[in-house]
Amino acid sequence: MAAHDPLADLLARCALSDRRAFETLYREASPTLYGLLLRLTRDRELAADLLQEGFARIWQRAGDYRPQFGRPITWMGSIVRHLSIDRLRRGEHRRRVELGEDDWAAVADEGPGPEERLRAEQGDTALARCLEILDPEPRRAVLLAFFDGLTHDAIARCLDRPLGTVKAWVRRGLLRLKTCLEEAP
Amino acid sequence: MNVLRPPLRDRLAAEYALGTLHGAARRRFERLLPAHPSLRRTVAEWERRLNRLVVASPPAPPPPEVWPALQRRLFPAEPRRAWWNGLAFWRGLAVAGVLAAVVAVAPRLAPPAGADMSFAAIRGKQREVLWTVALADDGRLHVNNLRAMAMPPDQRCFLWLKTAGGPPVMLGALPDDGGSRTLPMPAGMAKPNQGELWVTMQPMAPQPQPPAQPLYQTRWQAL
Repeated sequence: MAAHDPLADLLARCALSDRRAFETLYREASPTLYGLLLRLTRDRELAADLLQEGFARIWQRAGDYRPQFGRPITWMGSIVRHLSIDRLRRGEHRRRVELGEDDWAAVADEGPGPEERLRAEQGDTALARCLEILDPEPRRAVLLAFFDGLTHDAIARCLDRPLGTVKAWVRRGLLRLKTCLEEAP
Repeated sequence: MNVLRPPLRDRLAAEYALGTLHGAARRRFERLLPAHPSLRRTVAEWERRLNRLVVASPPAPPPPEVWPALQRRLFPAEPRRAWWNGLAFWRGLAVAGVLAAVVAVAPRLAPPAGADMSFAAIRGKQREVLWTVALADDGRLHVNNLRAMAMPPDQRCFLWLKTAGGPPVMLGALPDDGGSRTLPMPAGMAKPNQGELWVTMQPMAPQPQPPAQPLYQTRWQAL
């Protein structure tokens, strides 16, 4: 993680209005961000729209990036996640409440967890390990919030558990994640 | 304030970063951020922590039309407009004009003859005017921020005067809230209308370090 990230150079060049660098940055980072947005919105058109919006912001704010915010992809991911959460919550996107029972089951059962990718492709074994020490249900709740953009309410419906329980899972899950990451960052 | 008690602050920041803080609570939380650096720091820590997950979702090739649409949006193929032809310039000029008129009708402020005025426009990446700077005859600088800017936490934009051969001299902090401000003449400087104007973005500090390079720079124009 300490290795120099080429995306950081590209961001620095974008801050100086280098359009070439922006094109490279888009080529390098857009598949990751689009994948994230597809999962969050489950809507190709909306994901594409948010990707465009997100990269417009990245271009405008490239000079704001600081290494202490994490890796460049982490910082860019946080920009597009906030955009999509705002959009999903604004109620323009109603599909979530229209999901039927089967759809919820599909959301809940999303195949293998993200730990594999973290460990194998990103070398982020610390985060993978910290996710694995969470109990299965709190872990599922945190991941549904992160990757699927679900509210406590929606998670409760999706996992068919009481709202209070889900809130406590998310809270405790986040705390354990923090403690674990602080021990082995 | 309640939200600043550490355990609650940490919990709200975590749920904000995760996205489970929503509705009125999310909006209220966002309104607290600008005024509370410690809260912003806690949010940044949570985002750094959680968003490591960003790379854990499978990537997907974005639709090919996104990139051209993005380019059209950010870099519209405008016929190259001369700098005096932009709306923002005229808006800035109008401000300067009003100031000149004020100076002209205020006998105490304006010397009877030789009242001249310098004006500068500081442009951003897309050549848009971000600030206008008007130097009134009493040596005070009237700076006008034409659009509110999203600034990173703890950073401000500073205006510097760079003359040949010397280090930049700070003229003051620039407004970034879409408003205007009057900056006093720096001590020992007769009239700062020679040299270049530099803008930097730096951490807020009583004595910001003189920069080696500006973020933006511009020259004075005589009016």
